[in-house]
Amino acid sequence: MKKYSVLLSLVVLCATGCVQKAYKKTVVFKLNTTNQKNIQSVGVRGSEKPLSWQQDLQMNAIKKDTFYTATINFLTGYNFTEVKFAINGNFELKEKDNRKIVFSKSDTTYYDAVFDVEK
Amino acid sequence: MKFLKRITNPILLPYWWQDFLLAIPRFICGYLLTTDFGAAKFGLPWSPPENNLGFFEVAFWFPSDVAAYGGVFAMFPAFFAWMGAFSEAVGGLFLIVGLQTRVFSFLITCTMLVAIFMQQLNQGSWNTLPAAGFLWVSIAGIVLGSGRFGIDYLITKKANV
Repeated sequence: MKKYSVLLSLVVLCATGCVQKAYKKTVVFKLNTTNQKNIQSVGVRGSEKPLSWQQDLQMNAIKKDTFYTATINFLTGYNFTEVKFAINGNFELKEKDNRKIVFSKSDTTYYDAVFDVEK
Repeated sequence: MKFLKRITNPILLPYWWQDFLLAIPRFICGYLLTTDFGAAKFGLPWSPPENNLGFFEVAFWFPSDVAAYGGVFAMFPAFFAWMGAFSEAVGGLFLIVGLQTRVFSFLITCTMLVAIFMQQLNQGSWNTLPAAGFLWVSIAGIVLGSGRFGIDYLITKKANV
C-alpha cells in the first residue's frame, strides 16, 4: 500500500510540476506591399493567440499602399510561431508553407517581409 | 505480485499469424502516438526541438485547453494534461514494444475517450475518427495484452514455464 502511495505521489508531483514555462515574446512585423494594388485592409493571421487563422489582426499603415506594421505580444513556450499575411481578406502564399518566425533570444523579434514573397 | 502477473500475461490466439495481424495496428498506432501526436506536446528526446519542451514536460498550452472541458478537468488541468500527454507519448512507445500493454492501453483508452467526448464530438462525428481509431486499438490491447509480439509475452513465457 505504501509503495502505491509513493508512486501516486510521484505521478501527481510530475503531473503538476512539469508544465512548460511560457514567456512573453514580442514580434514587430513590417510588411512591404508595393507589389499589390487596391489595398483596402492588411492583416496578419497565425497559429497562436492573439492571432488566429480565421480573422485578420489589422496592420497599421506606415505609408499607405506601401508599408504596414503590427506589434504583437505572444505568451508562448515555443521558439517559433507561424503566420501568413492577408490583403483584403485574401491570404498570401496560397498552397505554400506558412511563414515560420523563430523568436530571437531577446524579448523582441523584428520580422520584415514582402507580401506573397517567401523569405 | 499476482495482480501484476495477471495484467501482464497476454491472451494468445490459436495461431501466431492472428497475433501478428492484431499487432500491426498496435505498432502503427504506438508509432504515431509517440512520434507525432504525443511528442508534439510532451517532452521526449524525439520531440521537435523548436517546441522547446524539457524532458517529460507538457506543452504550455495544453493545461488551458484541458481546463476548458470544465468540471474536474478545470479543477486539476495540469494533472489531466500531463497524464493525457504522457499516455500518448510514453504509452505509444510501450505499445510498440508490448511492455505493460494493458496498463498503457487503459491510459490511452481514457485519454481517447476524453478527446472524443470533451474535445472532438462537438465539431462533428468525422472529427472523432482519429481518436476513435486509437481507442479501438487500445481496447484490444486491454483485452488481449501484447499477444505473442511483445515483451510482456517474453516475460510471462519464462514465468509460465
